[in-house]
Amino acid sequence: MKIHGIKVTGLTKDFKDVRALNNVSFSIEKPGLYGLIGPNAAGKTTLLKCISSLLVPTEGDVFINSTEVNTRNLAIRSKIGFLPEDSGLYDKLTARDFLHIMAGMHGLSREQRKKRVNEVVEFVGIDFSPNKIVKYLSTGQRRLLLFASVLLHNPEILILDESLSGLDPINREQLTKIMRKTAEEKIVLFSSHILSDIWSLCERIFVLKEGMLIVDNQPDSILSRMTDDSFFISTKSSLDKVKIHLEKQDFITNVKIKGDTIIFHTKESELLNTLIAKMMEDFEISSFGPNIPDLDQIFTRLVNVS
Amino acid sequence: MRSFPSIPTRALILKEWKYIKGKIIPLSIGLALFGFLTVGLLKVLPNLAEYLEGLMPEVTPEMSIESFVNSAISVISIIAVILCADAVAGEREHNTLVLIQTKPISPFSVILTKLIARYLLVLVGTIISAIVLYFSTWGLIGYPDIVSFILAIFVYAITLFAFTSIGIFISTIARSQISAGAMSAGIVFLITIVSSLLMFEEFQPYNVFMLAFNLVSMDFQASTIVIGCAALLLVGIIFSGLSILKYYSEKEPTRKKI
Repeated sequence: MKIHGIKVTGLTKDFKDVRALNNVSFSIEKPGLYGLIGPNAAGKTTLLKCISSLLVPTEGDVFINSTEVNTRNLAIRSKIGFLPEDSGLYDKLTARDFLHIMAGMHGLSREQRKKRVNEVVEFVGIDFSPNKIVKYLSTGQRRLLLFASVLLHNPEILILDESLSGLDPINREQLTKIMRKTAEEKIVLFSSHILSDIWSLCERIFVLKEGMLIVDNQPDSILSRMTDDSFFISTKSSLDKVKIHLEKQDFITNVKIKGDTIIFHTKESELLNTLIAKMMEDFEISSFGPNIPDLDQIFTRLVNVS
Repeated sequence: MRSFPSIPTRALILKEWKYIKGKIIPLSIGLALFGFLTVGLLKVLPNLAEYLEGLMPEVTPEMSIESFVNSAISVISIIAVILCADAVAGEREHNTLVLIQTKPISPFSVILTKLIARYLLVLVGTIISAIVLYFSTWGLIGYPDIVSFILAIFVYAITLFAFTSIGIFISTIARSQISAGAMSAGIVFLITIVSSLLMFEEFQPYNVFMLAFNLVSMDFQASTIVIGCAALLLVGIIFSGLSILKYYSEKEPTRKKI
């Protein structure tokens, strides 16, 4: 049966004595946003390049719509839009010429190019003059132009390597919106080493560490895996006094002061509300709740625990 | 029916054209001046110093053509290979190579497009330079033999193809434009020096890189000229082939990153 999407099986990539990817397998079968995360040198770029037919795997296979990806199969490149992290642009051309040439390189005829370039410029929301020389574009404008260039041939799969890094919040928001819009119809796989970049966007997250795929799950599942049933209390009263009070309770264990909060575990969570209500009479409790780790903590735990 | 060249290759040709078109006029003017100066210096130098007058008692049109072809082999060839330096190494340096490598364009088309674009650029300049030289010689010195001159330029065009191919090959193996340019210029300079040092007459039929120059001053059999041209074409084809293979085996198109 023909499967639409990406299928990676047992992918291994060696660079001389360095194993950049080690037996990576996963598949993506429906449109949406998919995040690839990992610390620096985890193998993210190598994996994306193998999927985009830019690198030849040492072992294993990559399939796009059930067709094997290899450097000899040029036609497969029309199905993929790959945006490398630090791709350059042809600085001497105008933005319009750049898009026309990129569309032409994907095999679009002159008439198709004219129509498609206008469509993509509108879709991406390029608001600068298309006659502007690329050299004079800002970082955000250059990134938008590159993003537009990978959409020109209407690829089924978009692969974006660290596309949000180095952008200011406004440009980041703009690009995020476009990515969301694109992901309604296409598979968008993008990498980052910052979890907050992909946490709220992606329906599935892949975590790479030292070339191995250590997590392939939905953000909610990852979060529930990462939370450890602990609770926190913030107080304006003395932290030591609150800690002592908590330690006196039979059902409270493992009480620790962490920064300006107190973290603890409980054996009977249904008794907690009553306890906190009583404590509020004696102490100035400012907040209380389940101890959900922040994204940086999740990332560190993901990488370390796995 | 599939068009030739294919649409992606035509787009690449358009990109190359947009990048090199700005170089055509300065290069042509420069080489035209070069042609004119070749004649002008021949005419003026004997009047400047007595010993030069002794060396060149009579400046002939053949001397002008010989001087031009000899200088073209060293100077224009070095310009050609330096222009080739940006072909692949320049794209690699500016991280734009990946823009081509993600497109459905074969390595054969990429290398051939880049080679032909630069070859034609220098060839047009050389032809303009040769035309200026021819008429300057005619006006200042005397009527030159047009047949041997055209033959010399034709053979030089084939020599230029060999040099351009060497330049493209070096561009595929170099990591930066500057190193590619320096390596290419060094290699062309070395070839020219070694070829010029092979001064014995019996070596000349095998001295293919100086064939265009020798044609003006020596008599060769037609078969020797054909074999020399074939050898130059072979050198060009071998280096073009090596460039395609090198480009094809490129495993890490952008800068090294795991």
